[in-house]
Amino acid sequence: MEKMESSLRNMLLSLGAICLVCAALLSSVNAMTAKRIAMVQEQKTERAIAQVVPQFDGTPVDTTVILDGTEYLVHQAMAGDSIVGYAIESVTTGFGGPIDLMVGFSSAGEIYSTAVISHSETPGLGAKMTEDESHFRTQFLGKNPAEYNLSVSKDGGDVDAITASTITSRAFVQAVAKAYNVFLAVTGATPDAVIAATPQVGEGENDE
Amino acid sequence: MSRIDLIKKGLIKDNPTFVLVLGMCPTLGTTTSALNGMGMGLATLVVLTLSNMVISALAKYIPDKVRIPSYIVIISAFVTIIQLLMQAYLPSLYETLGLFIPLIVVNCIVLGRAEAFANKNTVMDSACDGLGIGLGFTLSLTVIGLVRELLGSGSLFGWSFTGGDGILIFVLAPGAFLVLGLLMALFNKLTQGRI
Repeated sequence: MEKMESSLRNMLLSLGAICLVCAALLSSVNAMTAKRIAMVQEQKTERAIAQVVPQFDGTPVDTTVILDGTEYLVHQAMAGDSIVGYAIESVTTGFGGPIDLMVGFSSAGEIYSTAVISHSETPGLGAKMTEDESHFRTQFLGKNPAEYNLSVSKDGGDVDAITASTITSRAFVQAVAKAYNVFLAVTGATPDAVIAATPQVGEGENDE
Repeated sequence: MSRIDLIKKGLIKDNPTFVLVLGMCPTLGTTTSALNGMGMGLATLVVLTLSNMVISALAKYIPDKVRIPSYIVIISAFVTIIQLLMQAYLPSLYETLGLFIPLIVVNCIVLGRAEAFANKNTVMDSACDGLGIGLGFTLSLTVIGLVRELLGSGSLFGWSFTGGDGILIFVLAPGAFLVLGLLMALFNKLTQGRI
């Protein structure tokens, strides 16, 4: 067969048909994977929560807190009837882009642990903040921000920054400080925050 | 040219990175470690082979004046499908490469092979060409990543054998240019007079 001539009709038909087929293909792949992608995301959040709060029972209770115009999701970990910890997701801007951090507090307000959910810091420099065993990460453990100055030592605080990664360290510390403010709001120390309980999702079902 | 030759020529003679010098953005951006380079190379290989096959099959039905938009639509559809599948089934690889996957669409190797080879050759030949160029790209990216990881973080494929840091500049952007340039010089030295 001869190659198709570039007439208006042919161009419209062929480009239109290609777009249509591609669109159909994409929407079917999207429908196939959407559930799994959401599940992967959820698992990632769950892992991060489990990493930053003490042992808990069942699923954490989610609360949405609006503080200074930003919405935060607070996960309350329960053991029996008492709250054992709060996992608070907090996002700040680092050197390479947003740093998404999960900060865990014990019910007394001490930092239990932190976990980096996603980041785009420089490998070998700022990305060192993801190493759980490093001094930078362990120095936060067990500290209560009420009596611990949450800013890097260069700015007069108590936190040792990662060498050659002050911007990343500042962002990390800021994320922890933000999470602490949210913690105060949840526990009732800051009255002007809007706290709204998110509707509970029944077990085993997904109410999208 | 036999099909084996079509595959082989992408590795050395028409090596996309060291000879054609195409697709430099993913080459420089993703090769911070051998594994990242290899992942990017393999993702490109899959897109390139599939898009080459589809474009060569459809070439007769695509009028010349709209061929570039048609190729781009086909290529970006494949890239998006791969991105979604990777996000769903290989989340850890997606985390490191996520940023770069959409860039495959504008990788000039993919459009370049569609334009220079696939639209005038048979489906099987185009598949071999895509496979060959894709393998060449994967190999080059893995080697660049290997050298950068070895010098920059003192590890190989994520397996660390030094306690401390490497020479940091090699994992950063300037190191990408240094390693690429030096490897290109080495490649030219080794193949001198033969290509």
